[in-house]
Amino acid sequence: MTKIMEIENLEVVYGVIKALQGISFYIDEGEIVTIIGANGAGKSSTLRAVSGMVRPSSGKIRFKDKDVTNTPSHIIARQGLSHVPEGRGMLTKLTVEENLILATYNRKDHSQVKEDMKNVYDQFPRLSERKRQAAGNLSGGEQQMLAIARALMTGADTLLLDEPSMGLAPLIVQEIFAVIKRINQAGKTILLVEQNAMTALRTANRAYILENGTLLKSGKASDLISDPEVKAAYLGGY
Amino acid sequence: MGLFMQTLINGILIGGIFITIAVGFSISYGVMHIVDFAVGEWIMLGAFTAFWLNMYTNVDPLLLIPFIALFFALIGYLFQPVIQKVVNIKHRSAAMMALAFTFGLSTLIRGSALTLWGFNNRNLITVLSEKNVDLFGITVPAIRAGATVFSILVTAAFAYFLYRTKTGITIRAAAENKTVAGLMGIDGHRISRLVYSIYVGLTAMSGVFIGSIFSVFPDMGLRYTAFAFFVVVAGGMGSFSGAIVAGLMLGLISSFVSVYMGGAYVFLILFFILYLILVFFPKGILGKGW
Ligand SMILES: Nc1ncnc2c1ncn2[C@@H]1O[C@H](COP(=O)(O)OP(=O)(O)OP(=O)(O)O)[C@@H](O)[C@H]1O
Ligand SMILES: [Mg+2]
Repeated sequence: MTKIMEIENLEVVYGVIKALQGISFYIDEGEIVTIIGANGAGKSSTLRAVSGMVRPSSGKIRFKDKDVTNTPSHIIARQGLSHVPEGRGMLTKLTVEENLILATYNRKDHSQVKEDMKNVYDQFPRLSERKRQAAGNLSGGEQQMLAIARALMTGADTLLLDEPSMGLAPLIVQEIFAVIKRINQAGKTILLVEQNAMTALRTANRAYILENGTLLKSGKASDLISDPEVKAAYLGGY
Repeated sequence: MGLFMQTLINGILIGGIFITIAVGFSISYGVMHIVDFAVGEWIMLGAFTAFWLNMYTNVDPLLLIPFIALFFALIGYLFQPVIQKVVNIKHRSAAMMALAFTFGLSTLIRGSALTLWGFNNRNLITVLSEKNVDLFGITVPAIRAGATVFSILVTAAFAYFLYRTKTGITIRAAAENKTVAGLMGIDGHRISRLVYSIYVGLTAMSGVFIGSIFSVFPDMGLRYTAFAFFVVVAGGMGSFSGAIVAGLMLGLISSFVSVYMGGAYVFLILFFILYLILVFFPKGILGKGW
């Protein structure tokens, strides 16, 4: 396995609040890795630092053998990393199709773009039916689909997903996780951040447990599911 | 009835020119979140550039328009990073600093123009000056009609660019959320620069029309700064369609107030209406601002 991403001693500070106090982890190519943790654990801060939305106060981020620490987000995005932010980051005034076209702006492989667009519409028929609707008028589930579809349209090989299940009904959550599995099988590497620990652990290959800005545990997702401590704290005792 | 029709048509015609300024100002505000107090100065500089170029080359000011638009677009392009720097300063009220900065810039440009060129009014003579056309039985100066038609075409082209091209999509995306646009690989600074450049080019171009309809003098931009604010606030900050409606309203209001009450009342009425709009439609007439 080759490491596609490696994070060393990552620290993120907001004013006086230390959101991340030096965490280290890695992702192998083709994996689904999940970071689970409670509210305020620092999950979003981790993703924001990796994608260049916030500057880490210290630490190193390597992506595809390149040091991308302190690289602005629009440059990282062009290197094949796409971050679907918390709350989906919809551009509500653009139509569904414009959201997707926007994602392809920097791509030069025009024939592949066409094919990807067709694949995305095949995979998400509801988006295809709502092409010309403003993204702001979509339901929460549809918006999450669009957010993932848009990340795919950037041509990225690595996706950072921040709580894709947030605010969605259980049935839709299942659907979203099925999508995540499917795009992973199609070759995308995924870093998934979740509060919905059970579903995340069932979907991922490996997992990290984040608490108050430090990594508490890590291991194979299947092992962590049966870990007594994890069970008690994150899986409601199941 | 004749006077009413005359006033109505004049209002619509001048509104057509305001629309171009309004749309550029509004989109630039929408993306950069900076109110450019110097908007009137770009109008004045556009008019003066046409005046001096015409003086030395004898080329008709209307033919100079493409050159002036491009030249000022370049100035805007080169100048935008300076404004951006002020906004990026780590300061609690960076937006306030930017406001103060463009206000100072506007004063500086106007003061320099006064020193260089004095208080004199100059006339910008074009092929269309002194000619008239017949519109719905009303005689209007040809320059007004021509300027309006041209402005509307330019605004339509700009709308096409914003709503039908890939780069237009990136501009609207950056206007809504620069962070998300950044995650899509869009460089927000580059977009801001592009938009500011287009806005300065369009505004200077409109300055040529305004200079040839009225006259050219260093203070000519002042009222347009106030007008631009009216348009942006009434139309809703950053809304394209709102800017069009507000630009047209502005033309009609200033035309009717000038004719029926007197030119001195234009600002009084304008800002009273603005007050009413803000009280009853705080998001702009079409409710599309933020
Ligand atoms: N922009 C910000 N300014 C100040 N503090 C922040 C900011 N963003 C996050 N924090 C703080 O940093 C800590 C970690 O926040 P973060 O958003 O990374 O947590 P999270 O694990 O994603 O939580 P949630 O599950 O609620 O989304 C929290 O204490 C939060 O209050
Ligand atoms: Mg979060």
